[in-house]
Amino acid sequence: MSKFKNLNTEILKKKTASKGLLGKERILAEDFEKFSTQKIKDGIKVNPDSVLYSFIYQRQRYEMLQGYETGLKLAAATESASAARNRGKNYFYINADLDSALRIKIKNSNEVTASLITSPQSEFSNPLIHCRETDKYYIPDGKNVFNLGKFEAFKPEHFHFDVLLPVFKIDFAENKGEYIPFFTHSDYELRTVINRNEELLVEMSDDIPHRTAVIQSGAYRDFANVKGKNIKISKALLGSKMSLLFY
Amino acid sequence: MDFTYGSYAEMSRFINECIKRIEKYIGFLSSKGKIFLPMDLTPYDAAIEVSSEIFTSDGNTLVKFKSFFDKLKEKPDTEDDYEAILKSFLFSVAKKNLVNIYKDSDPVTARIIRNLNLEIDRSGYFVTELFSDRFVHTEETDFSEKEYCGREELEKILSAAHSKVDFKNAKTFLSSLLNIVNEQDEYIKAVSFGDLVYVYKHSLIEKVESTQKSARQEEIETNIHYKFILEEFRQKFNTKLRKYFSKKNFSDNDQKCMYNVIDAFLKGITDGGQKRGASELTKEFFADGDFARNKNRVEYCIDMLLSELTTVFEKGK
Repeated sequence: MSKFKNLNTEILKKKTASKGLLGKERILAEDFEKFSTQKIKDGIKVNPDSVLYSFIYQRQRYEMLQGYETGLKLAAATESASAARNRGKNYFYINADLDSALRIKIKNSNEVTASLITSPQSEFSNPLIHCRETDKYYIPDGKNVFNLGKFEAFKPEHFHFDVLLPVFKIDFAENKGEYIPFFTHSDYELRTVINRNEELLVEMSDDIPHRTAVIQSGAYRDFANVKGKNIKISKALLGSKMSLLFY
Repeated sequence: MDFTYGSYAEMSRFINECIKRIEKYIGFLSSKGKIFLPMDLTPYDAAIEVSSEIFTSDGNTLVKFKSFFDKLKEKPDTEDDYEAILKSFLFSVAKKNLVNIYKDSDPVTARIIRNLNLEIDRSGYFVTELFSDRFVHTEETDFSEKEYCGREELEKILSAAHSKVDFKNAKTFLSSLLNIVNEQDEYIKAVSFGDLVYVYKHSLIEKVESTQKSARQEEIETNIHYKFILEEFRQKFNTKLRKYFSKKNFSDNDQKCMYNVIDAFLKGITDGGQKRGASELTKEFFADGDFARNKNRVEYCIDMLLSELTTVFEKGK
């Protein structure tokens, strides 16, 4: 058994000597106090309006996209399109502000998939796609491809797509069968999290302004069962690391 | 201070305040090069990984917090005292559970941390917790007497005493390293846990070197086999490096500099040449920019390289 001593409390109380290693540690702790007052970039934006991006169909054929001024990534999209010319039909929807494109690919029997092409500056974390015409949300598969289903005849000019990013996220960590929720958004509160035999019941204190919610548990990702303030997660879906993302 | 809350919402608010404190602490240590966070983990994710066990509740009471504060001999008198004790508790838990953040993405580091922890506990070394890390030593030590040598100086001290360091396992490594540290008088006779992990990882270099030497002496096929492993390794590692460059917005020039650093570092290993420290490599290859920031990035990449190299080496054995 090691012989343990904790001098950190004394350092944080500024009661230690200011010489030697203790002095250096005290300075470091004071630096930390300054550092702690800086805002941490939490990666999840909070304004719902700012996390919905419209992608506009680009009528030009992909060869013409080469002249498009949005730079490297869209040029790459063009290359991909050229390479894929013989393998299926591709249409591009563009969001020039984000320097990003949504590539719609028509596969066999009008099976339609979509994939996002983004610049390093506008890397999307946990995106969903919404199709205005079908009013459906789509979750990407493990390779970040959105399967939009089958269409009789896909006419790109008739469709409008938006990309959504989460506005709020709750992470759950499991500790001896208990699920502990973590979140950084101060506007919302959890009224209760009940661990029942068959499910986890999460009750929010206020309705979160969201369009849809997704549960992520390990490799599993699907739409969550949200009813008003309540979210039910079946025991079968509970994992040691789990998140609920609200869009 | 019974850590019993009027509602779940109130308790949950306290939990998230604690997570914010730990997140900032991990972010701070990471920015100072004291810990190397796996690339796919944010300080927030890491804070959750290291601390979830302390938020066990009974009703609306956080039992681990209650138990910790109940056992204190000197109860906090002021709000500042309470805040210092709370932070000390949270940071101590973070340091103790650091292994959790490496479990999935860097099993090599996780294993080194676990083995060193087990050995420190088993051998009954002194462990003193300061702000940035836990320090391991063999005798009672006055930490205000002298300064700490630091990672690079420690490596120099060990390098100078090369024949005395026994990297065979955690037990021999710790005892031989602490003996060497005890023999010098310039610095405090203690080593930070983070530096123990870093240096222990470096011990793999010795193994690769000796493997290379034996490969040269053995049949030519064996030599080719190891060259092939290292070439394949370099390609895989470049993929990981590119991901890191993209995440940290490296300029084209900085990318070139880092590739040169990695080349030089690997050359030192594979040719049995002299091991080169992060400062020296930063000075040589990053002529411009903030030295401390570049050195942190070099240390991070070398640490990542050592984890990957260990995995490859162990597979190739």
